[in-house]
Amino acid sequence: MRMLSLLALLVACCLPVTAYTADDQAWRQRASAAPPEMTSDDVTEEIRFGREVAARLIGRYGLYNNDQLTKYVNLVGLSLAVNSNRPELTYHFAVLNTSEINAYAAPGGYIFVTKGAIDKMKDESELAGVIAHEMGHINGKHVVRELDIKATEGSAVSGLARLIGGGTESARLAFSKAVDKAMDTLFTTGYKREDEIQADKETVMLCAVAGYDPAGLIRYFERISAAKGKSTEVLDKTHPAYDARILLLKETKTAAAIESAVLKTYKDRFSDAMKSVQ
Amino acid sequence: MHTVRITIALLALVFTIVQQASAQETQYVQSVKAKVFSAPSFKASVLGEASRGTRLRSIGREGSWMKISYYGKDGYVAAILLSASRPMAKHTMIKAEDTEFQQGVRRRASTYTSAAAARGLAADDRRRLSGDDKLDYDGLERVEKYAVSEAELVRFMEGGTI
Amino acid sequence: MSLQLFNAARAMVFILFMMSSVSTADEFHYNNFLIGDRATGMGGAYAGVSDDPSGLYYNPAGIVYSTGRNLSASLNSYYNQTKKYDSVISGIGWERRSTSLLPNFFGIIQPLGKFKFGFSYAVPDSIREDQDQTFTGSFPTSLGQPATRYTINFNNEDTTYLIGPSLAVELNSKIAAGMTLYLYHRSNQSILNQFIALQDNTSFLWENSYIEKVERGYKPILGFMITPMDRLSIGLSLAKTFVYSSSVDVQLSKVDQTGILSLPTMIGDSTTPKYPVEVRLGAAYFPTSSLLLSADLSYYTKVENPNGDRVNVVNLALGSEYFLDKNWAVRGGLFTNMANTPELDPTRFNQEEKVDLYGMSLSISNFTRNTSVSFGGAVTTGSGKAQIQQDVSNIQNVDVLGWLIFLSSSYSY
Repeated sequence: MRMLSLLALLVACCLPVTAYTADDQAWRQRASAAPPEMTSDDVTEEIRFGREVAARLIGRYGLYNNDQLTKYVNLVGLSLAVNSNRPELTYHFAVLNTSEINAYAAPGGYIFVTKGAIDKMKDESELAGVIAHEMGHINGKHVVRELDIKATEGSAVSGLARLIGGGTESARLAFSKAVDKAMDTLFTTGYKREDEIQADKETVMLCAVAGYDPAGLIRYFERISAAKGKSTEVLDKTHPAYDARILLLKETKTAAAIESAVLKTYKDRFSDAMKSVQ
Repeated sequence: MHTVRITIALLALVFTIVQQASAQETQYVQSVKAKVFSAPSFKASVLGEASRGTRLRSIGREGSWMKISYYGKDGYVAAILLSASRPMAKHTMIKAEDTEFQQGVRRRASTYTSAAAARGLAADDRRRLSGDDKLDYDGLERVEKYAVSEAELVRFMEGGTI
Repeated sequence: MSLQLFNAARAMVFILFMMSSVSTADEFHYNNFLIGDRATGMGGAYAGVSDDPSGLYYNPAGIVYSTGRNLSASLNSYYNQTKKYDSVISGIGWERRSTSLLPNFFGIIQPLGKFKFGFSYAVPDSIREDQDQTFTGSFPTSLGQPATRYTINFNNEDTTYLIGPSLAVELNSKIAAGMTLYLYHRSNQSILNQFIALQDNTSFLWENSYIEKVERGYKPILGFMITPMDRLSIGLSLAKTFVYSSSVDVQLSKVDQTGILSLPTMIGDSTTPKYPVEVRLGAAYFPTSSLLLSADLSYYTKVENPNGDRVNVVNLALGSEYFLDKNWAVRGGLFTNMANTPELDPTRFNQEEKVDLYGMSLSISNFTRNTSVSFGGAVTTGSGKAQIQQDVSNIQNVDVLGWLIFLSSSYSY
């Protein structure tokens, strides 16, 4: 019967099995449901949120007060920021006063690198790589999406809708809880695996576009993976293993046909900047 | 059945047409400047440089590169520099937010803080309870106020010393 | 059995032009109303999409892929249909109009752990039929003299309600399953009033029939959604209405110049009717986030019912949805609503009409962050055959034209 053969054909279509990730069905999302353009209010909310996270980070570690180093880190960061795909944000950079080896990004454009991390670096491309990775988290709106940070829709309709829906926390986390959760992400659980992968991939291109050798980040990881210990505790806990990251960075670099030879490391400039630092 | 057969044929035709059409999308340049290369490689020749806000017609994606139509030729731009929506203007916090820039840690209560208060826990209580999480708004203010001049940045990006 | 009862009661009188059928037009089709905000604009080609509350009716498995946390949708529609029967009485045609204005769908979806729970209310069929005509002239009758005046008033209301919960789960990354269990309630009230004045100005015949039908049952819908490859979704759903209680009450009164011919008494009947198995197979293709194309094939099995046998029916629907930008979308669809009655045999009497209907739908929607509003309409048309006169083998041509406008909204929060 024709009906049966049609059915059989359709069943046959189901047989080819390919490995699917969690976001398989993302293509079902229609244009209206797609991550909507961030409105100016959403950005305000993001910055307000990010400021509290940043304030906590500074509160926890304190700032490393060295004008030369601060200026240097800002210059490197800003030279990457001109290539950011979030021109609405003003990026801010600072060095945290701790021997821990890590870097942190707070939504809204706040990027911190620890003194401990800088001590382990040997050239500017390594610093650029670390900053670029954090920028990848902000540009990819990883925390904002995960915690659903957005401006409230103030219309009567949505208010009524929320009322009907029970008005429970399932719709939105309270601000304070969200900040706690963000801190958790930075210190305990880490970002989602796919977000870390995306950030690492984008680091390679961002560095290359800005003229930095993306292999800098690879060299940096190789060095600190050899020096694993107390100072890398948080970094190890919250990020994928170094080998996996190094492999991904190398693959992305090769796939994009990026050649280190034509890109910069600014070793001398880096050494000059570090002269004022113990 | 006759109608079913026609329908299936029609659908097959539509699928192929749609596949063609769906490959084209609009992208906007988000970075200050974006180089357009003639091939998906930094070693390729540069066809030109598009500035922020330029609208490009994307005809496909190859790995980390977006293939675009650039003055009649095929050009490649790093995908991270583009986005499907227009670049937003530089965001400035509204004046009311300036209260947060005051000395000390006093902040105007936000609706969220009030919500937390309604749940029996005011912002300060939470801070105390969470142990080692102090808020340093003074430090944050210093970080935000730190600026480098445009000239300095341009010189730095061109390889100059700090 | 009610049809037989009714006809037996009136076998005494043989009038050429009196209406014979007591079944309503809606019984003759399975796809009278499109259900739900998005599905209506897409011609009902929804089994492969079903990823919002409209899916609770078409293919509950699809709601697994709904986005957002809670969703609710409602639809208010106005429906109007005109049926013209030609040459019923001495070359004059009959016109029957039906209208309906009602909210015909409401649904919500709530995620519950690994499952998606849904609840919906749907009115898949509703008719309010009206005919008021008076014919004057000279019409032959079997009463010994011609009639000079014939008046017919016909009012028929027939509505089917479905209400019930749904549950869906993703079995693996490519297959989802779901089930809706609807409670089914149908109520039908039909009043037919016919008056004939005969030539001698004293003789007359006045007949009034009142039929009330209530059916109660349940309608489970079992659905599957398969994703064989990226951007292609195949849906399959199976449904059947099971009636566990049915009551039909007929009251017939007949009076003529000699007196009461038939006292109004209620005659009851509780045979439960049978409904077909409904198989719906749909495919949906999502090439971009702006475009969606879908096609559905529905198959209804044949049914043997004392009220009249139903043949198997195949309906086809094609739908599309296109986003002009993230705030505006247009939807369009084509669909069939084929008759479930057999072809009319020119040698038999009292057969049910057969009209195959074809339709087209169109709608436009506006989206904001959490809400969407849709406005649209559909047109159905078709022509076929009827044998509207009692005990006579004349077959009339019937033309049907119906249109529907609707306004719906949905919220996500």
